[in-house]
Amino acid sequence: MSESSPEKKYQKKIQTAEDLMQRVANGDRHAFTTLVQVHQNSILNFIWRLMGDKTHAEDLSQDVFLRVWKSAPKYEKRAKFSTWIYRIAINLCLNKKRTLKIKNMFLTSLPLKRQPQINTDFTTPENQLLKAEQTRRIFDILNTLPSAQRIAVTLKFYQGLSYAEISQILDRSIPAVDALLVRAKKNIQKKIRK
Amino acid sequence: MNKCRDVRKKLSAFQDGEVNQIQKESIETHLRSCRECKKQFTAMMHTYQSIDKLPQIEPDPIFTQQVIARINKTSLQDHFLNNFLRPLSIPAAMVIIGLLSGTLIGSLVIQNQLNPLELSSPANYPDRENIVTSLSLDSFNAAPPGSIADGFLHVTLGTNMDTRNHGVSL
Ligand SMILES: [Zn+2]
Repeated sequence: MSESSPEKKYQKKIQTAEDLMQRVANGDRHAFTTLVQVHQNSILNFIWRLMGDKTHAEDLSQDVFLRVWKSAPKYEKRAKFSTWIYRIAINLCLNKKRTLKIKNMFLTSLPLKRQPQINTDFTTPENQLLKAEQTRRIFDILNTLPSAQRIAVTLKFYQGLSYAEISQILDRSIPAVDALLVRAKKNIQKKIRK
Repeated sequence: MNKCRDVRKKLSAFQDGEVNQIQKESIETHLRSCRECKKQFTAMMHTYQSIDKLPQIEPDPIFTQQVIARINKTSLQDHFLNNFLRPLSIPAAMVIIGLLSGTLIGSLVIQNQLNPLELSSPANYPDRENIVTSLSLDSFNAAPPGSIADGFLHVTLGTNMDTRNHGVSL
């Protein structure tokens, strides 16, 4: 039996994430593996953009999929899988931010506060420095946004979701999402004008 | 109708491709002729440009294995909890309840047999331990008053039933 056979088998059937989730709910690990492989990149990058820290993003992404596995029996097929997993990711990120905020309140006086790890594996050395600086500048901008605005911008601009999809994830109306993005854009303008 | 005000309300949604075809064409036409709205739109375009070029990060090649390993670990913990600890928890709870209620009943029995006035006097306090000890022995009497064993002891040892409460020293 070849190692890649389960994935190949499932790719052939072209199953939706919702179908796979039905099987994950019954404890199907192959279906779960497929889900992880398909969504890991998107979830990891989504969390990285929200947290601005690679190590946190890696840990939290694992937590997200662990939660998917554990909560699979509670998943209702009517709900879109992407909406559901984004909600899980957002909740875990907000929890993490809260704990980090509390931790930082106690650690601010200490000189060795861990710097966010934003460096990524950029190929050439000259590009590396340039891109690292660019990345740092972008996170500087994103860090000025309140959580809800940052989530909305990330979902819209980086994840490419529609207002309707964002409104479902955030459980807000479409005009509310629109307003959130208008405010976010104004805040970004203020920051880049400085 | 203030055209500029209407356009600006929709500008962000227009940028995000969230307006219908009629609105889209109307806004595009307006932006071609209105310098002020065009300026606002350009500024809005800069917001996304400023956060563009954020690179993609790659998941660890063993990301899936790591997740599966964590699931196996938690499954094992759940299995242990469900099959070993949880069934044990009922008898364990019963034992704890038994011990606690035994202690409570025991202490109530002892308290009822002690005269609180005697204990409240500091002079009598050093004797408390002895009294408690002897009364504890009483409460574990193998031959309770009125039992056949008690009658047997009474006959064989020739003790007075009234003095017995102050300690059975065999
Ligand atoms: Zn105008």
